Amino acid sequence: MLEQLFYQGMIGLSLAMFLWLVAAGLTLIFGVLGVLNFAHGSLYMLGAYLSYSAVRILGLDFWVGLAVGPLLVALAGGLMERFFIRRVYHIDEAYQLLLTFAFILIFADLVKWVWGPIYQSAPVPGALGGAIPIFGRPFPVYNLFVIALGPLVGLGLWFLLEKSWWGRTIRAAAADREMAAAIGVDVPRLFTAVFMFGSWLGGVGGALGIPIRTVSPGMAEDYIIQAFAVAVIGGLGNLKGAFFGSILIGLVNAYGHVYAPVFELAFMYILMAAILLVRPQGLFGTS
Amino acid sequence: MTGAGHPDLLRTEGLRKHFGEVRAVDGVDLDLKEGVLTAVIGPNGAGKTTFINLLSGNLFPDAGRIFFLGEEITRLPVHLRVRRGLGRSFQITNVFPQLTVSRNIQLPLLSCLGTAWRFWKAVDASEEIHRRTEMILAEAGLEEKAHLPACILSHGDQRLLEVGIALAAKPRLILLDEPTAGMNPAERSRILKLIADLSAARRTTFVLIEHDMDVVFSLAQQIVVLHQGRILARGTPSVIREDARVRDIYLGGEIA
Amino acid sequence: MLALRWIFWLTAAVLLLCIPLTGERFYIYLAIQVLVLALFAMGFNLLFGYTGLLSFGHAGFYAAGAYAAGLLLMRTPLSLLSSILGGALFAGALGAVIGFFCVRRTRIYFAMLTLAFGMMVYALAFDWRSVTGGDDGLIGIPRGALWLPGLGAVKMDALWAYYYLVLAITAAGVGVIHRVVHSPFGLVLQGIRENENRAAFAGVPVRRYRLAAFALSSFISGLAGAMVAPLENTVAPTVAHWTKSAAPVLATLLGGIHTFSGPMVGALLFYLIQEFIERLTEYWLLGFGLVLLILVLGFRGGVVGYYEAHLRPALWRRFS
Repeated sequence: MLEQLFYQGMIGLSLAMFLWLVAAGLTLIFGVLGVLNFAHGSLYMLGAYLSYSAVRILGLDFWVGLAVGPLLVALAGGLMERFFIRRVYHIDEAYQLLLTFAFILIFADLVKWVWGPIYQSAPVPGALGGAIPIFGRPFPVYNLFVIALGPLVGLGLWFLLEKSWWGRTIRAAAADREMAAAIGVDVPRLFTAVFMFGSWLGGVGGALGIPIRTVSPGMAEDYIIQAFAVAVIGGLGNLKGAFFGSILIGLVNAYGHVYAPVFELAFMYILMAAILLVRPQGLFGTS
Repeated sequence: MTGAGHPDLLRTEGLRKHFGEVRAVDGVDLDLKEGVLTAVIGPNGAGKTTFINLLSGNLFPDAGRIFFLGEEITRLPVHLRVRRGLGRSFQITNVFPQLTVSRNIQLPLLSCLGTAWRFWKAVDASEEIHRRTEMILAEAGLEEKAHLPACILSHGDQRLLEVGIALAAKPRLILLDEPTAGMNPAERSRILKLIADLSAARRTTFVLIEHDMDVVFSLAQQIVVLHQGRILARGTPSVIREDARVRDIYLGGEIA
Repeated sequence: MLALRWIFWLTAAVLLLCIPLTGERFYIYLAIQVLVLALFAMGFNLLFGYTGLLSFGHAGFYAAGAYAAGLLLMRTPLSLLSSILGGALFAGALGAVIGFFCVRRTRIYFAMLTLAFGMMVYALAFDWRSVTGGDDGLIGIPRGALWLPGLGAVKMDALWAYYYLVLAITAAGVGVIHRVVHSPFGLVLQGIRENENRAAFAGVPVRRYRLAAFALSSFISGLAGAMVAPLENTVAPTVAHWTKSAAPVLATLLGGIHTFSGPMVGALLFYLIQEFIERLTEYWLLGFGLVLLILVLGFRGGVVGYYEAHLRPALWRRFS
C-alpha cells in the first residue's frame, strides 16, 4: 500500500518535470512579454518531432537530437515573435490570445503534413536504459534522469534571472518597458530573445519526452491545457509557482489515475478554476 | 430643484487611507451643503485624488465613515452610490468611445430610470429617454454631434460629454476631477460656463479638484485646502486668499 | 442605405428558403451546418463582441445543449421541438451557474476560467458513462416528430423537412438576439465593453449584466448544439473539447465582431473556405490558421466591418 503510494509519487514527479519544462517557458514569456502563448504546447510538440526526426530518420545520437531539436524550436519561436506577435503588443489582449491560437492550428496541420498522423516514439538512449528497483518495483532509469534534470533547469533559470546581467535586464523590462527602453535596453530585441528562450525550454521538454511519451499531432492541445493549469495554479508569470504547480499537477494526475480514475480528468480543471476564483495571484504569488 | 438644499449633503468622519508608508488621506472631517460649489485644492501629493476616489467608491477607506444625504455609504459599491445621486468625472477623459454621443447619454439615463434591464424594446422606442437626451445634449452644447461616435470628438467636447454623462444619472452631487485639464482657452470657457450655469440653476452641486487657481477663485463658493492628507484650511475664496498657511505651502506662488 | 439593407436581408431569406429545392442532400446538409454555426457564433459574439469577454469554454455550452436534447429525445416522450428547447434551457441554466463564477474575473483570467469550466464539461461528458455514454457518447438519438397545431405529428425524417425546422429556430434565435442588442439591456452591455469603470459610474451593476449576457449567450450556444443532436443521431464528448471553440471564434472574426450580422456572414464564409480548402488539400486547419493570422493582424473588423467602413460609403456615393 505504502509502496504503491511512493511508487505512484515517483511516476507523478517524472510527469511533473515534463510539465515544468513546458510551463517554465510559458510562464517566462507571460511574465516578461505579457502574452499568454496558446501555441506554447505546439512548440513543445515541435521539439518532440524535430528531435524524433534527428534520432529516427537521420539516425543521429539521442543527445545530438536533444541539442538540435530545441534550437530549431527556438528559431521558430523567434520568427513567430519577430513577425507576428510583436505586432499585437499594443492591442487588446483578446487578440493576442487569438493570434497565438492561430499558430496552434498552423502547427497542428504542419506536423501532420510533414510527419503524418500516426503516433511515433524513439528508443531510450543506451546509458539511461533499464530500470532499478524502487520499493520493490522496477522504475525506469530514464524517468529518474528526468526527475533529476527538472530541478537543475529550475536552478539554472533562477541563477540566470537573479544573478546574471541578462536576468537583471529582463526583470527591468518586465517591470517597466518604457523605463527599460529609456535606460538604453533594446526592448524589442530582448523580447525576441526571451520568446526564443521560452520556446527553447518548451522544445527541450518535448525532446526529452520522445523515449517515454508518444509523439502525436494531438499532444499540443493536451499539453497546453495542462501547462495553463500549472501556470494558473502557481500564479501567472511566477516561475517558482510554476515549479511547485507542476509537481502538484503531476502528483494529482498520477494519484488520480490510480485512486480516483473517474475524477482524474475533471480534478485538474476544478483546481484551476478554484485558484482563479479564490487566489488569482496563484498559490505561490503575493497579491 | 427648489427650496433649501439638503443641509447634510455629504459628510466624512475621520476618513483615512494609507498606501504603505504614504498617508494619502489622513483623518479628514468634512461636511458639504447642497448648492455650494466647492473646490478642493492643494499641492501635488496632497491627497486630492485619493480623497475623491474614496468619496466615489473607487477606493475604500482604511478608517472613517462617509455619509451621503444622511445615510452611510462608506463601503457601498460604485453603481449604488450613483443611483443615490453621487456622480463623478475623471482626470483622464472617460467616455464610451465607440458609442455615439447620444448613446453615451442614454446609457446612464436608462440605468438610473431603472429601465436598463428591459431587453425586449428598442432603446429608441422611449419618448421620455429621447426628450431627456435632447435636453442634456443641449445643455452640454453637443446637439449637433449627437450621432457621431464619441471617440472622434475633440478633447474639449469629450470632457463636456463626460459632464453630460454624469448629469444624465440625475446626481445631487458631482465630483469633477480636473475638469479643465488639457483644454484650450475656448474649450475651457465653455466647460466653466456649463458648470457655473448648472450650479446657478441649482441643478446639482459640484465639488471639483483643480490646479488652475484662476478657475478656482472665479468659480468656487467654498475652498478646501488639503495638505499631506489633512484639511489645512477651509473657507470662502477671500478667506483662503488671505490665509498665511495656505500661502506658505504654495510658496507664495500662484495664490498671491 | 436602408434600402440596401432590406435588399440584403430579403435576398438572404429567399435563398435560404430555396435551398431544399436543389434536392441535393449535400447542399441541404451544408446549409444546416452553416445555420447552426451562425447561431452558435451569434451566441458567442453576444459575449465577445457586445460585452467584451472572450470565452474559450463555449464548446461546453454547445455540448450541454446537444447532450441534453439528445437525452430528452432518447429517454423521454418529449417532442422534437420541446427537446431542442429543453437542451437550450439546460445550457442556459448551466451558463448561469458557471457564469456566476466566471464574471468575477475579466480579460485573460476570464478566458482561463471559461477554459477550465468548459473542460470540466468535457471531462464530465467523458467520465459520466452511465448518463453520457462515456467516450462513445450518445448513440441512436431519434429525430422524432414535430407537433404542429392543426397538423399533429409531422415527421422530420427527410433532411429537407429538418432543414426548415433548423431555419425557423435559427431565425427565431437571431430575432431574439436582434431585439436584445438593440434594447436598453444591449446598450448597457456595449457600454460595459467600451468602459467598465464609466459604466459603473453610470449606475450599472456591471457583474450582474455580465452574468445575464453570459447566461443568454450560453442559451443561444446550447440551442445551436441542441439542433445537431437529432441531425447527426449521435453526440460524442469531443464536441465539448476546447479546440471546438475555434469554429465560432473564427466565424465571428471572419464576419466582424462589432456588427450584428457579422457572425452569420462569417459562418457562411467559414464553410465556404473549408469546402474550398478541402478540395485542394486535407490540411484545412492550416488554411484557417493563416486566415486567422491575417484577420487579427490586418482586418479586425472582419468582412462586414470592412464593408460598412469602406464599401458601403462608396456604394452610397455612387447611387445617391
